[in-house]
Order: sequence, then structure tokens, then C-alpha cells
Amino acid sequence: MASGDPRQRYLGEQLTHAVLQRRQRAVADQHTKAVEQVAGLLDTQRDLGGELTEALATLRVQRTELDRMSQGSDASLLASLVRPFTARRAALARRSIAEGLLAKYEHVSLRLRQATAFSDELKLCALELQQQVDLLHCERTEALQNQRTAAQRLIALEAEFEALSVGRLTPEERARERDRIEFDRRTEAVALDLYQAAAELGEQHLPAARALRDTVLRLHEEMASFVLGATHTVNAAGRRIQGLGMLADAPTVVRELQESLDELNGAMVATADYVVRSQTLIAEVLPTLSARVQSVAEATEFALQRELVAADREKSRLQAERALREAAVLEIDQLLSGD
Amino acid sequence: MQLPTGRVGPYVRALRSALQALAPNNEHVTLSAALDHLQALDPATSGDLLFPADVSDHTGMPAYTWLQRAHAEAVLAHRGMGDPSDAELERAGDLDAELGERLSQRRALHRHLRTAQLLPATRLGGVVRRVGARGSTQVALAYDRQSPDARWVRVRVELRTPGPPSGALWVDRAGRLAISSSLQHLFTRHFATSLSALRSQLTDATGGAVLRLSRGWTGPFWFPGVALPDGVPEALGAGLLLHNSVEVVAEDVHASRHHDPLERVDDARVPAGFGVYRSRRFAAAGGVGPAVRQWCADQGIRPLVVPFG
Repeated sequence: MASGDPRQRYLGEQLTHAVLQRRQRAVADQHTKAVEQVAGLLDTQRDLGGELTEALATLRVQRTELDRMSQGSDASLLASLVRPFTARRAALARRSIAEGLLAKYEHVSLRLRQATAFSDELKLCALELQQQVDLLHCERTEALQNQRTAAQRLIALEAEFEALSVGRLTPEERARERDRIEFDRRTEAVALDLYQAAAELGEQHLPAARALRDTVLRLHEEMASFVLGATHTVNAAGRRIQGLGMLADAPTVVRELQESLDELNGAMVATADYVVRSQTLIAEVLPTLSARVQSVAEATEFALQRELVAADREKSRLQAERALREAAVLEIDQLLSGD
Repeated sequence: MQLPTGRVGPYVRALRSALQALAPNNEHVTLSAALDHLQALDPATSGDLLFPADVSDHTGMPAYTWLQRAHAEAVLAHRGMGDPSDAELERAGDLDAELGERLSQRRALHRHLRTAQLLPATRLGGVVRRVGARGSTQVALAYDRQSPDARWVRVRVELRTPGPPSGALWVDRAGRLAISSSLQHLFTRHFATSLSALRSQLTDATGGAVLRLSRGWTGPFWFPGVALPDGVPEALGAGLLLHNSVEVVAEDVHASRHHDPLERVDDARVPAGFGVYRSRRFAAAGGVGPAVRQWCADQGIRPLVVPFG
């Protein structure tokens, strides 16, 4: 007779110490890689934020210049806008406001496109991290299910063992059966031990994986929100700048140009806030996150090594008995709850 | 106006076809750049990455904001960050179909933009044509712009300096024409003023004699929904109609001619010894060809209509 109830099979890959160690290393490697990736994303975000801040500063300069013209503090400049050309020097000395506006708009637009692409990159990273979280959940659920199966098999083996004393077997047959049951019981006890370790592995890594995912999600949410708001404003400013282009070099439209720049400025102020938040994230969250992931990986590795080194039959038997009790309690709970 | 999603592809392809049918010469913005730019906007290349599809209400041409998005993406494409592989796109698509589609569209767009020429917002270029006695130099300038009304315009100038060019124009050590940014600013301020006025400004600014000055417009592109100018029969907005017009003021135009049914003639300030030539060609589809011919004929102008589509 095969050990335990033949209808109860283990789910997934057969678990051994080597497989469990491999899984532990894989999860730790994934997390280390993810931390590096998040660090890279944060670096990009910092660079992008710096460039956007720079664009903001340039726009402010442009706005100040328009203010100066509007207030007439530089009478010669304002006057030159309406004075007809009389000489080469005068014709060439005058700068086109439209050229300046288009150049500024292109600069802001480029940064916005960059932010849009980066937002997609963040989303992809968040999805990959969520997939890791899902995988850890699946492995944990599978390990718990297998732990239960092992416990049920042990219950069955225990019953078989008890039945030996009342069965009509010859002494040789009884001895052979006792050996088989003992072997199966120890095998299942080891399996139970391994599945318990696998379930704990998932449980221990889950918080770090969630923290990584949440960090990237937060980055994505903030970037996506910024891009959405800025896109609308920048598009509106672009339409106005194009519409004013024909008249942009006449002083009568200075006020409207100021409004265009204010619209862009509004988007950039939002960017500045965003940059400050992302810098806080870089300064505070990443080191904590990195330390947390490393700590979990080291603790799990150490615990696993200790468990595997210390594993002996007696310990396995005791653990199996504990698991049996827990499984029995669990079954009773489920029966009472009608599951 | 913003084109509805389903109309963007047909619009861009119709405009491309119309441009190809007209095959504008070098008095107009470069055809290949216009076609490449439109291909970038085509959802078949870039999906909805460059949306919203802003189009001028009055000229039916793609708005600066829409065209500019392709420029910004071109800068990113040339930065060489590396395209995602097929496997990476497939993986992204498995995780989120919409995101995978968007990454795939961005890759296609960037691949196109790395080899594409695009229409500039404003650009001034030039070459030395010939150098004569005592350093007298003949140069050709071309100023391209996406105009504020969203039409595309090229202003071409042939001018001759009495000696070696100096000031806003000069010849560098390699023999190439160098242009001061101040001259581009001058064009940007005055690209749409009358050619006669522009000629005198360029004369003042460069100290040279302007021999030939032309301005070629690509657009408007009329289709249902575009506001036609006053006096234009509504029938002309019932199909698809792309305009291509040019005006030239030059010494070698010996007899002035006017073949433009849309622009009014104002040649009061044409300088002595110069002639003016104006013409307008059309690419027509959707049954507007006969209406355009009739409109031109009513004004005594020989119609130049090319069918497309």
C-alpha cells in the first residue's frame, strides 16, 4: 500500500531541500534585482525632475522679461517693437518673441514626452513586482495545501500503524509492514517539514515584495498624475502659443503671451512639487527598502540553513505530530464552519 | 478641433495622398519631411501615442501641438536608449495588454523617427550659389515654418551681396554659408508680411540685393467641418481639397501673372524691374473637383486641379 491516502497528491514540483534552497535564492535574487531596478528608476526620476525644474527656471526668466516690457521699464525695447525698420542694425537687433516661446514650448514638451514614457516604464515595473507578489502567494498557498496533504497522509499512516496490532498478520509480515510504515512516516514527516519551511519562505518574503511593489506603484501614480495634469496645461499653452504666433511680435499681445507662460508655469510649479516629493522618496524610502529586503533575505537564508542542518528524524517526528494536531484542528474548524 | 479617434488615420492618409498627388517643388516645404512627419502621426505607426489629434478649425492642417509631439519623440528616439525586444514586449503584453500595445507603438514610432525627416517649427538654412568679382556673393536662403494658422510655409530668397557677406551672413573657412540667428528672428517676425515689404527688410538687414523672393504655402486642407473663408462656395468643403500656393517676386518674372483664386491682388508696391507671379494648385477628392474648376473659372483663372485618392 502506498503511503497515506492515494487520492491526496502533492501540488507542484516535488519539494526537496535542494529545491527549497534554490527557491529561496531565486526569491532573494529577484528582490535584489528589483531593488536595483527601483534605484535606477529613482535615478531617472531625479534626473527628469532636475530637467523639469531647469525648464521651470527658464520659463520664469522669460516671464520676468515680458513683465519688464509690459510695465514699460525698458521703454526703448517696447518702443522698438513698433518702430519700423530704418537700419540693418535695428532690424537684426530685435528678437522674435515667437521664436523664444516656441523654443521654450519645445523644451517643456520634450520633458513631458520623456515623463510619459517613464510613466509606462514605472507601470511595467510595478506589474512585474505585482507578479512576484502573486507568485509568492501562489507558492505559499500551494505549500500550505501540501502541508495539509502531508498531515493527512501522516494521520492515515498513524491509523495503519495502530491497525497492525489487531490485524491477523504473521510476525514477519507485521515486522515488514511496521518498517514500511515507519519509513513512509519519516518520509512524510520530512515532506511536512519542507512544506512548512516553504510556506514560511513565502510569508517572510511577502512584506519586502509588497514594499517594493508599493514604492514603484507610488512612483507611477505620482508620475501618471503629473503627466495627466501637465499634458492638458501644456497642450492648452501650445495651442495659444501657435495661435498668437502671427502676432507674437507686436506689443499688444504681450499680456496674452504672459498668460501663456503662466499656463506653462503652472504646470512647472506642479512639477517642482512633484520633484520635491520624489526626492524625499529617494532620500528616505530607498535605503529603508533596500535594508529591509536584504535583512529578510539574510534572515531567511540563515533560518533555512539552520533548519536544514538541524533537521533530524526525531525533530521531524515531533513537528509532524504538531502538524497533525494542527491539521486535525483545522479540519474540525472547517467541518464546523461548513466548508 | 480634435479629430475623433476613428478619423485620425483616414485624415492623415488622405493628407499624405493629397501631398503626393501635388508633388510640390522646392518652393514649398520638403515633401519627404511632410510625408515622414505625417507617417509618424498615423495611428498605423504610433497608435494613440501622439494624440490628441489637434487640427486647425480654419485651415484643416495638423496643429503645431500635434506635430511637436512627434519632434519630442524624435529627440528621445535619437538618444539611443535601446528598443525593447519582441520578448520584452510580449511579456509586457501578458502583464497588461494595453501597456504592451503602447510600448510596441512607441518602438515602431521611434524606429520610424530615427530615419525620418520632420517639418521644423521654424528653420533658416542657406547655401552659397556663386562668388563673383570683388567677393560679390550670391546666396540662397530657405526659411521653413509651421505657420500660426497651421499651414506650412517656405520663404526662399536669392540675394547678392556687393562684397563678401558680413553681418548676419558670412562664409566660414570651409566655404559654407553661416547665418546669424538674428536673421532667423527677422524671418519669424516677418514671414507673412507682403513680399515687397519683406524684400526691403531683407535688403536692409543683409545689405544685399534681393533678386528673387518666393513664398510657398502648403494648405489649407478643406474637408467637412473646416470653416471656409468668406466668399468661398460651401461645395468646396464637401470633399477633400488640399491647396498648394506660391507667390514669387523676382527680376526674372517679366510679366506679372495671377492664377490664385483665393488671394487678393495687391501689387501696388512691387519694385521697379520686378514681376509678381501667383498660382494655386489643388489636390481634390470626394467629388469636389468640378466645384473647384467652376470656382476658378468664375474668376477667370485657369484651374490646376489634381485628383487623388
